[in-house]
Amino acid sequence: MTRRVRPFWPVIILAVLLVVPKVGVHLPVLFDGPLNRAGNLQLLAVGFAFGIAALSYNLLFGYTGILSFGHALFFGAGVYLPVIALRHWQWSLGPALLFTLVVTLALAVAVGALALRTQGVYFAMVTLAFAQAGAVVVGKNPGQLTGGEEGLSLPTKNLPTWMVGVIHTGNLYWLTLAALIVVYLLTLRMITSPTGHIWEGIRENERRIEMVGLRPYTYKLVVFVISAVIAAVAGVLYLFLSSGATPASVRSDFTVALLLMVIIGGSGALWGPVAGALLYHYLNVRLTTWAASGTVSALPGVLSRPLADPLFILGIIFVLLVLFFPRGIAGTFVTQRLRASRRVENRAR
Amino acid sequence: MLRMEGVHTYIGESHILQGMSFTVAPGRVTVLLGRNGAGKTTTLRSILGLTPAARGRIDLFGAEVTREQPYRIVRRGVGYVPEDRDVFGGLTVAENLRLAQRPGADPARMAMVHTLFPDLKARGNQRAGSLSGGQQQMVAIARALVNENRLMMIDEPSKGLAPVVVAQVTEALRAIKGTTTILLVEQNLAMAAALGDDAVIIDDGRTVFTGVMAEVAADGALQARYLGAGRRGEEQGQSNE
Amino acid sequence: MSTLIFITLTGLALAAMYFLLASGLSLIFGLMDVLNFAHGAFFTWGAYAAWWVISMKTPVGGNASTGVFLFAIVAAVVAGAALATGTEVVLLRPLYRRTISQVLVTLGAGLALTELTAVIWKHDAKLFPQPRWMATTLTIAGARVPANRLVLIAVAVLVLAVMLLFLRYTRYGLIVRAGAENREMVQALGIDVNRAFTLVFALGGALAGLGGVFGGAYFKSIDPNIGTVNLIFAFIVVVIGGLGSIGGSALAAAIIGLSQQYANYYAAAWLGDFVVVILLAVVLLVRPRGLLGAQR
Repeated sequence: MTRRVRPFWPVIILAVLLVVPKVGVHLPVLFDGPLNRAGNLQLLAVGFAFGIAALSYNLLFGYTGILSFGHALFFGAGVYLPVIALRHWQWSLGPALLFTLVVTLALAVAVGALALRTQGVYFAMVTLAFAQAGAVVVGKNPGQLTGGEEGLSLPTKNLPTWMVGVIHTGNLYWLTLAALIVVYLLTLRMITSPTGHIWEGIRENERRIEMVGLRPYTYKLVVFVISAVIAAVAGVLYLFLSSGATPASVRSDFTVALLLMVIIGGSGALWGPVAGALLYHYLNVRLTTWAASGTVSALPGVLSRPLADPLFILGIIFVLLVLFFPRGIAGTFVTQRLRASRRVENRAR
Repeated sequence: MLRMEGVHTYIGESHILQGMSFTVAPGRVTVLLGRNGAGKTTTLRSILGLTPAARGRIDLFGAEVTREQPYRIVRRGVGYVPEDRDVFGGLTVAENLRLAQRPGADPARMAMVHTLFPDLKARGNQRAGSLSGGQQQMVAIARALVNENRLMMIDEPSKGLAPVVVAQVTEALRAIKGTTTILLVEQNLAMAAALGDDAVIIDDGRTVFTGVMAEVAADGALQARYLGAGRRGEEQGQSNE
Repeated sequence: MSTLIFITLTGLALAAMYFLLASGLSLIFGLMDVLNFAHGAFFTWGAYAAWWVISMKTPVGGNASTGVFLFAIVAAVVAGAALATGTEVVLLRPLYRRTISQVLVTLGAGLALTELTAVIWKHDAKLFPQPRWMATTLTIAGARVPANRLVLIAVAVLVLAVMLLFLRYTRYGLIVRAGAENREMVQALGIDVNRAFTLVFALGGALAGLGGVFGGAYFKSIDPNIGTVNLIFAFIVVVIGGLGSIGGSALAAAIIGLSQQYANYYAAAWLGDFVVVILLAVVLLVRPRGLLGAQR
């Protein structure tokens, strides 16, 4: 594998992101108040957590070509399991996280092993059904465990002090950013490994993988489980950032949101889903704020009411992207180069 | 009748047809030969618009059809008998034929088909999927015959059939020979020689020979050069890319 | 005993509603390989179109007249069919042969169309007036059952019969069945398969709209999420029944509706939805292509 010269700008972006909590600069319209205000840091950090989840979803959908509608189940596991252990069983953080990891692994293996017996849309529907079952359980609050529609707030007692409180949002910001970088590099490592090439092969033509004597099922199960665990990591970070768990994070709407992030960003490059996640979360939050602002609410109802509904806007954006920019942000940059290199590979074969 | 000029066709990223050119003369049977993966099936599919040509030009009955929708091309008067027959297994034999009948088709054609394949009339209410391979081939040919077509394209009618059945299929095709122009893809040289007037040999998506079938049948060196691999693949039931 | 009858009829009414959604989904998938996520939105729009017609002619808190209700049914069917046709022609046709993109575009359209009802009529639930005779309860073998459940079951049975006749005896039915097996070969026979696509979409949308009216009557109130909630169960019905099989959808709808109600009543209130998922898992293990799907 030849070593490509890395462009300079990722380093700059990273450096900028790292110092954000220390910078009190004002960016009017884009952010309220100074950039390092807790609310702004949280907005960005949740974007990073969604970026991790989107990376994991892209591993399935973008790289291996598996369309799952059940990914929220694993993100939701990462959100709910630690808070249940911390709150109801008074565990400390370490065991609670270990518990989350083990249960998510088991859940992913079980769901994956079963659902991957099907393919294509069948798989999509089966995973949707499993996630729905998860959402139902969370919503119905069995044994007062999940808190039902109210959700559960995160108890601060057993958490290290550097994680607790608004004044420490910067720490959580760095933690999430670090996790994002680690997951990014890990994903990069995986997709360039031999296994990664087989995943890509499964997306391109599963039968061809079978013909060379490999079992696609095993490879798909591996990517499904890895992706589920990464999604749970994102869920855990999201839990810390929002200091509690709400059923919205298990609902299939969240899977749709992940799909939207990947579509917005495009799966042509690894940074695509991350960019998509940041943009999605930013728009989702800011659209609501803008809609409440004077400029929009002064518009006639025909305009202001649709604009005040982020889901409506996102639905329209989704449709327009699929129709006109199917490769998302990243695709617009990368497609040409990718195409060219693939043509060459085909010649060589 | 049919004229292909410098046609390039891709399937996904694979470049299958790399500048195919040939013509089919009216009233004759033209056999398209070549080894597996040479692009024979893709040629037929490009003519039909099922796998549209990326570059080049296809003229049919004096009009350009390169970018036309498949159903419009077919309605110009093309009958297609695909590789693997592709009968609708869940439909009855009669339903298969009824579906194929284009609006305004002459009902006499159906009667003609029933005379040609009495077996199909008797099995009209049987699910096509429950028929034998030979019978399914008859359904597939009959489907192309219920309309008055100016060109019939038949893709490997002998594939996967027992020798005795191949003989029956050959007989059926001999019966329609002369009534319409035929473009036939066939790996079975005996069958190709029995039916073909003209021959086109393709290799790696390019035309490498055009002439009369008798010439190919007599030229062992030509066969060895361009058709050698095909004879081996025949038994395994290959598939054209 | 009377409880059992009540639960059974309620389960079948629920099944009827699932069937009205699932039959269209199944036809669309069978012919086009598209899992239509916008189908729930057609259901929601059917319900809102009917509610809009009814509420114009009905005093607040009153019952709808039968005439107005019939007109509401027409409005719902037209709304469902029109939206579905629009979705197919405007959004799906440009993406022909790109199945994943088609699925995604229906997902986006479903999201936007569902939210549009919230934009127009707000998120809160609306009471859904129906004719007095539909809201009254009838006594059947000791069980007191609301008449609207029986009407819903009757409508679904009628739809099933009409669909089966359509598929068996009409040319378009023939095209739909053949297209479900091999779309490309249908084109190669000189048939404009796009027209069949639009037709099944319109038909599916009409049935979803019909489901929306009776769903409103069944639940007595509607909100923007009514379609999406039912869509998930309709998906499960379609998979269990076998994609592309109308008979399979009917059978699976009955199984799902009944087991949901039985489990909810005889076990725990949340168990019904869970049982459905377990059923789905079992069916997929034993028959991956569904009960009556072609086992390729």
